[in-house]
Amino acid sequence: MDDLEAEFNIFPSGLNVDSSGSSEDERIPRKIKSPILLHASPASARSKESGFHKSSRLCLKAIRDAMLRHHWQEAAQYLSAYSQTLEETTVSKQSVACEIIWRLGTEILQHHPNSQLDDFNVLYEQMKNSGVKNYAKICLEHSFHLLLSGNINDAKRQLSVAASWRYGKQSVRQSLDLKLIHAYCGFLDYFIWCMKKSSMSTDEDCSSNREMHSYFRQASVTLQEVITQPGVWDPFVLSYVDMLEFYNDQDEALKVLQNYAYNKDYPSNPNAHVYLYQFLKRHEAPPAKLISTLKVLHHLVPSHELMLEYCSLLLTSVQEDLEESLTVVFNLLDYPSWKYDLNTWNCLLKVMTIFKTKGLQHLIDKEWEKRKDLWLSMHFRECHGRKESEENTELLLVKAKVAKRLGQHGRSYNKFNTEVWGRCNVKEKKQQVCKKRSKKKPNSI
Amino acid sequence: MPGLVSAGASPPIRVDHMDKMDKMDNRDNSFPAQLFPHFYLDGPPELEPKHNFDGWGSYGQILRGHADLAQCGTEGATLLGFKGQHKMEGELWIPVEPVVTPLLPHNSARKIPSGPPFSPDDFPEHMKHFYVHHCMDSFSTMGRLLGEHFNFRKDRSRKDCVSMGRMKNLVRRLKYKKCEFEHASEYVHRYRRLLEDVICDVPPGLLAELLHEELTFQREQEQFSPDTTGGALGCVPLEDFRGQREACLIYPRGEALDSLNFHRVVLEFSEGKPSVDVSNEPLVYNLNGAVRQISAARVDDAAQVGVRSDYFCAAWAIKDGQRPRPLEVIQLKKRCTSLNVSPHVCGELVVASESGAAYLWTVGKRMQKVREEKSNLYFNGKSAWRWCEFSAHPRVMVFADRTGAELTDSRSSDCSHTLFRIGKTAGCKSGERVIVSKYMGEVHAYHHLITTQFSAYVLDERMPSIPALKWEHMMESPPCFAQVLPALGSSTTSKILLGARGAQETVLLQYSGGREQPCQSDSPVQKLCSPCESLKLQLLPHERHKAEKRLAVPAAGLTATQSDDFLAVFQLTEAGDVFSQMLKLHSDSSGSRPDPSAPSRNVDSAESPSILNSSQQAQASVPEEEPAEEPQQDGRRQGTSAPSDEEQLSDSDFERELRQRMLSQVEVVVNDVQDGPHASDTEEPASVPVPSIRGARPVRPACPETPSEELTLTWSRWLESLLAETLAKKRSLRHRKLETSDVMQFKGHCKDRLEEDKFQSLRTSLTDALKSKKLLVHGGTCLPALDITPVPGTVDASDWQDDLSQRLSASWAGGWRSWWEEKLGLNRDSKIQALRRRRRQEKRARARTRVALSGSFTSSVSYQDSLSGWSSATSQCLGSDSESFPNSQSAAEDGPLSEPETLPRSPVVQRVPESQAAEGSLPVVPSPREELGTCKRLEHVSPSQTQQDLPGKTSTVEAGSTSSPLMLLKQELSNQLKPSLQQQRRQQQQDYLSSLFSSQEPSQDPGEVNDDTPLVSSGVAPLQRSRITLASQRPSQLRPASQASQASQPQRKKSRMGF
Repeated sequence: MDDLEAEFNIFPSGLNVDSSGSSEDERIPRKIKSPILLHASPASARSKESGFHKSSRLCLKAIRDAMLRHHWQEAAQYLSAYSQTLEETTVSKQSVACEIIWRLGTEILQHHPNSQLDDFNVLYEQMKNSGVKNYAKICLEHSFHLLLSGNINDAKRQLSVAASWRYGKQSVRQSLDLKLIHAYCGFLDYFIWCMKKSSMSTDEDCSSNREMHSYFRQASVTLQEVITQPGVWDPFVLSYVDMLEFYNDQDEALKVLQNYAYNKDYPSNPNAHVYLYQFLKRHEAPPAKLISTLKVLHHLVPSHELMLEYCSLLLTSVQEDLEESLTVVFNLLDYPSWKYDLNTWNCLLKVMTIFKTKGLQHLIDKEWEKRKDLWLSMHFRECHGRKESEENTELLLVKAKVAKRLGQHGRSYNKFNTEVWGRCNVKEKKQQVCKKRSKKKPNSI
Repeated sequence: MPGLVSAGASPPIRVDHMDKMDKMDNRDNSFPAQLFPHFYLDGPPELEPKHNFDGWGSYGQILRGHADLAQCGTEGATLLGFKGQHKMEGELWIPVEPVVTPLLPHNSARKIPSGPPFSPDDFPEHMKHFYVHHCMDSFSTMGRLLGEHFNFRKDRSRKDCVSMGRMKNLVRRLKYKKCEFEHASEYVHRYRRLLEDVICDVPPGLLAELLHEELTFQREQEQFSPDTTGGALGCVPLEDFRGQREACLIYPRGEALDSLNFHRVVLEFSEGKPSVDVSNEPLVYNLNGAVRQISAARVDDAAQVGVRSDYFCAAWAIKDGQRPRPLEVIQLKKRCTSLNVSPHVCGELVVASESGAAYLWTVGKRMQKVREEKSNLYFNGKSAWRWCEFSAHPRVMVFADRTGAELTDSRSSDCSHTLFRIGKTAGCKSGERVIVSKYMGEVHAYHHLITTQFSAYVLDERMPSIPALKWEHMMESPPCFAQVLPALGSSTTSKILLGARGAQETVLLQYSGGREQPCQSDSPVQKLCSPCESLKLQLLPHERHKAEKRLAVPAAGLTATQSDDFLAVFQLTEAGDVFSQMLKLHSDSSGSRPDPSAPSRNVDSAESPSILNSSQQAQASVPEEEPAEEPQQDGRRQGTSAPSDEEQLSDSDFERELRQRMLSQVEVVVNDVQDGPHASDTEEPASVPVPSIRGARPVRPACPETPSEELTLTWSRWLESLLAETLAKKRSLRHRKLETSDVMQFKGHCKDRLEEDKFQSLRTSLTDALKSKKLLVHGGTCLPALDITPVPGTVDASDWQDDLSQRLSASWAGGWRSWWEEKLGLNRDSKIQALRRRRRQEKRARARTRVALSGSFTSSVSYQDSLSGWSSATSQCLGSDSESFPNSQSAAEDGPLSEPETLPRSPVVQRVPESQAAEGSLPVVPSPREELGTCKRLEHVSPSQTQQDLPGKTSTVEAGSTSSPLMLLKQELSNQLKPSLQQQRRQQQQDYLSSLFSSQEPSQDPGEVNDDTPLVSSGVAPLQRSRITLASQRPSQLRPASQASQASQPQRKKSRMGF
């Protein structure tokens, strides 16, 4: 009854039907599903259960319990008995049994103290052929296992066999797995290319080496293909760009990176922008280009590590960009994860000093008004002052200066500053500060 | 009430802690240089959940770390610098005890609700429950409700009562249409009395609708438990004081879980026996409603505690060195679904309610609405549940519902973007829903945990929509409690504890990365102990039942705290009981990772060989402590062929024995495979690695099988207090006693001697009969003759020639339809055909010149016998509805043709073999029904059957009667032709009947048995008697055999004879 609405596609007004994806989503009736517990069939089904099913169910339960408690040897014992479920005559049940045996078997082998690589190979080979529905997935996992155990050649062979595999109609899942298989195949080609490259003495040899070039071509074809698919492809993009750069195809590399960063179909991946920025920086792009790259990144991730770099870039640029630097550094300090970062506070102090000298105090006031409440309770409470006076006096000093610039003189936070710096030899401290920040004038306390 | 923290102590405020925090915080800002490959797909999830084992056997994705990292070659697995998303190795956390420890005495005020135990899906059961157990509500409620407000008496009207007299007047004046049955009100009244408890007051339709609504709600409640999401158990670590680790445990207690306890506990993570000291008195606040959720976070110098009840939220603050201080309480119009404390700013909380709105609640200031959504975020999830959490930015909140989670900026109204949504990208399964979302600020400043009924996702809010990590947690019920524990060092893992409400499941997940390196999960899912599995003591069944019931109530909260080597997990059940368990880090696993602190931790592996020999024998009885575990396993491994194994198996615990036996088998297999020096390997599994490609896989030390003595003592104390309560209650319950001494008095004094003698003789004959296993017949006793009402004579259907009688007789024999067909001439064609067929057969038979009569009889017996007993056998009525024409036997064949003749006499008149009739074995029965019953019974005594069943006894019967069934049937046939014969036998039959009665009489009336009459017919006794005996014995003795022979017969209605 409660799914009637879903069946007839009735939705209350006000739902975000305007978004293009959702209308597609809502065509499918959605019923909340509970996990299917094969090891614990409901009591109603139990009366009809045959002895075979019952024993396999109980066996599965025993395996599950043992595995969840990490009793791998006990689980292995049960699993050898559980393999009888493969004799299941129902096709759907048999394919599920195949998958279960593959998953449980691999996991048990992973943790069994005496498993060998051969055991894995045998299990993977048997399971991938007994349940063709999982062929691609199992192949992929098999090659992962080989890679992680250091057998790159076997892994490569596995992948290339799987890449040429065809069986009936591909399910969506299988086709995705096959795409990944192709991608990893290319990735391994790149890996071999890298090894060849490092074995060569000079770059000249490399670029003229035919074998390497063939690996490059193989890899580039497959990597190019997977990169056009929306997704996160950091390792693939990096390796593709690396090869392109090696063969001096900067334009193509830039195109790939720009597509990866700015294509709307792709998820907003901060790394895509970082790669682009690093690429531009490597090839000595003009600061304006760097700034525009980082601007997008700032929009996506205001708390990114590169924001300090962005800020210093902005400070060296024209007036409008300069104004943004204040927002950038203020935004950075909105995040509690930057709260104790001395560099950031220094940066803020520096920016504020520059702004003041340029007569842009009103901008500072504007930004301050926006976050006054937050900052007072997040940065400038008494407890912060006490703590920093004990742990990080430098931070205390900088923060106190910032507070004063912001017009917060009478705060209880500042009293710790006075306490700490008042007690000490002011001259010494001044020298210390001067050493560290030679640009700044020593503070008058 | 003593203060929570001793006021005098004002030690330095967690200096080292903060340093760690600082470093962590700064490191959190770096984003992984490479992420694992991941598809970004649009659209709803399509994956159908097929099984619940996805969490195993998969690496997920792999990528290659930096080249320089690869060259380091720190471990075998990263030779080429590849690493998988799911790492197989991880820290080994071993439970110190096999069961949980009851931390506090049971919450005596709380009674376990004993509501209907059936699931919300069982609709009829609920209706039944309502009608049966709430009959006062379901029936005649209206009268009872209104009764006291109406006055039917005429005398004087009470106050606040409506006088019916006036009421009638009023109605009359209104000219209201009266009930037309008023004149019959007396009858109506009587009917009402009669049907009061049958006709329900609430119309079933309405009731069903309401109940359905309620059950739908309950089902959702059961599936997701939105109330308890988050968990009502909190733990705030207090600063180290004199080297003691202290924590403030916050939990509800009391009858309705409505009193909030702040309990200062001391955690002793000593190597030998880690424990939790709860000797301090808790500080108790009594609240107005049940505590649903407790959220606690440490901000700056104080801990903030938020407590959510259904419509109220309250905030407390715990400052170091001070007792907890209530801050503020707010009330909401709609049910509150979420409350979370800000980990960034002191005194900020975020509240979400079923109205769809989320508020930022700053203590001491007004609430600020962050967001309001009337509908669900991404699709119609039909859920009013909303959840709100903080994020890495103090002004950006996570707003979640069942369909996903969004990051909402509270500073601007329209700035929000997806953090997570149920869809293809995250690899969700269809029908997946968000259960709980948690900001993992302690672990990583940008990480969020989102759980669904299938999976747990870690999301980095800098890279939304794409899960940084995903586990299939494989829990049976959805995890609605989550607790995270940060990594204490750079090489250790962060821990996530997930707890489910329904099955009390708790699992431990570990992961690392998220800073320079991408997130990787370490070690597969590990299940922790749950209270419901912890009852290991031997108890009496009823006590066990009671204790099991108490322990099996759903979980209500989960929290944990850690030290370097220990993990203390606390669980709360809905009964208000708190349990704890300790896990210990097994340090051998650190060999697979570069851990600088590994040597210092490597204590138990170093000392294991020394304990090995000494404890090997004793371990079966004292396997309590962790250090003893290592040798225990070693002992087992060595003992696969040694006799000491048998000693271990002598342990009474069967389960343990089984497991050991199994493991020992495994070991045997393994040893065969491995030809290396396994003796040394078993001695020190960690120091001598198995030469495999993947490097040494550390042998996991087994967790103890039996609880330690101390824990057993704690449990028995806990159970004692639980059970003592019920005992006390039981004593107060008194049974009503009924005096029966005067009722049961035997008045024997008025009997005379003669009577006494009679009784005596009757008793002796009865005992004789019992001894010889014969029957005591009435005729054989001296009891006075019985007053027998003669059975009316047989109704001969042929006497009743009218249509109605014929039809009735036909339908009695099951031939109602064919009678009508016959009557209406509908079966004319088939008759003609049958006639033709018969003629053909006759011709054929004539041609063969063979008389197959006898053969046909035999087969007709079996056929008819198998169909419906004698009645159909004799009547040969072939027209019954259920009957087909199964074979071409002549007896059956001529049925349709001879029907006009046979019909009148067919079903009712009983045809019996002459031999039986002559012996009077068939009573003359008054009505067809009884008659049928009789013959049904008697068919079992037919000679052929008796022969099979009771060969010894029936020899006389056989001698006297016709020798073969064939002959018998021939006679029967002749009987049929001469029905008058039967009437001559009537007298005999009546005799038989009377003797039949008498055969049963003695047991009913033992006072009148004739002493000298032989009770049982011996060999010379007339056949009649033996038959009687058999007939009356039949139900008890012959049934199995007869049923076996009847196996193929269609089961007839069990009919009873008149006696």
